[in-house]
Amino acid sequence: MKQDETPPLSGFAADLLRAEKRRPPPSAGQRRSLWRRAHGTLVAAGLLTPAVWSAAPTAAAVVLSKVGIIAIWSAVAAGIVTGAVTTAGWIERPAERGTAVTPVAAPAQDRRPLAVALPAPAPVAAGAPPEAERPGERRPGRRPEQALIDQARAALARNDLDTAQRALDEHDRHFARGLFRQEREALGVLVLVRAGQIPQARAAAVSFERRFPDSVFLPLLANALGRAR
Amino acid sequence: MRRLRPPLPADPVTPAVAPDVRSLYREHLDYVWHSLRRLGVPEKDVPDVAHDVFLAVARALPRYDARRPARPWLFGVCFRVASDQLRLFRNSREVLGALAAEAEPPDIAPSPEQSLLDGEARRLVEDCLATLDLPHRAVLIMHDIADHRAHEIAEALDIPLKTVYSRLRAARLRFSSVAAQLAAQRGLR
Repeated sequence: MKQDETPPLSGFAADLLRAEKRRPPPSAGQRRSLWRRAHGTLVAAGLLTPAVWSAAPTAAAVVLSKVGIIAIWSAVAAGIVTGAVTTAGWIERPAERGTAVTPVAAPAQDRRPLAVALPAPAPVAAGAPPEAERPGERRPGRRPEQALIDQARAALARNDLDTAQRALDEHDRHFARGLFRQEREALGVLVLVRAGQIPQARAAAVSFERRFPDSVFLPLLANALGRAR
Repeated sequence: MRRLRPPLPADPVTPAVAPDVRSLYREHLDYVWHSLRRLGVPEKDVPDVAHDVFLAVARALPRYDARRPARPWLFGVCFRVASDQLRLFRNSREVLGALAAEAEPPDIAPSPEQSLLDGEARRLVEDCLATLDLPHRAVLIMHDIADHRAHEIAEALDIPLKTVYSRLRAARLRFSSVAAQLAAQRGLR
């Protein structure tokens, strides 16, 4: 039988089917929620390259990417250019891991306030044990640890990616669970972005988001990855 | 002297890059969602089944010919995933009987055009579709709702072209008849 021999629908049935074509689409919430689930499954099954900041982002990513982008960028720019970030309280978290840290008095000229107030770090539950160190790992001490992060940040600012990566690797070797671990990993993502290794940067950002879901660096990474698209 | 031929124009049908699951999701979620509803997946189960569809799509992508339109191919995936799901579901006769018994006539019978705009008309479509078995329902949905061509339907469902037409004929007759019957019962006509 050919198509033109197929009997047409009755007028009423055809009206019904025309109405069916106008069925409203699923809501934005339904779309987002389904993508979140599907994305997780696909990544877990190795069928999709992780991408936290894809075109169908999570609600959290949307919020994060909209809130505080300017603040974070301003703060990071200030930190990169002046080195003031490390001494102005941005990454001062002496009690975060229950680690005894001797406060280091910063030079008076470095006590300039940041242009933008940044959120305080999340409090650590009382009694939370300090994270275990790797065998042979140095105990986190602010000065040498901070120096490596400063070095990486300064190298990144002048686009010297090799030096930045070397400093980050060095930090990872000696202070894998150090106080500036978040900074190290966030800078690592930025190095990848700057090097044009976007898929790797996205994968690293996914991993970062999983481990530090409340990090103040997430908007920074979202923005950097967004610009790299 | 040998003359060089001018380069052939690019095939307008061939996309430059094969789609990935993200772009398919972005562009065709609505289509997948509605196709699953029309195939009889209950509203509450659509997100779960759509999730499975995109998982199956991601697995099947290496075999997808990107020169062909995506929607018929996606419908084929929906059809196979929904078939598996619906095996666990009630059969169409039970659906029709239960829904017909539950139906309450409205106070004022709207015209077909008016009723098309409200949920009652959509329920009516769903109920009519539910009286068709899945293979007939799939052909009717693809041809008369999604406006796919017969050869696309044949390819997506992996059936001969003649079967498409025979199923379409039977499905249309059944759908028209049940629509008239249910609409009369519900006071829509």
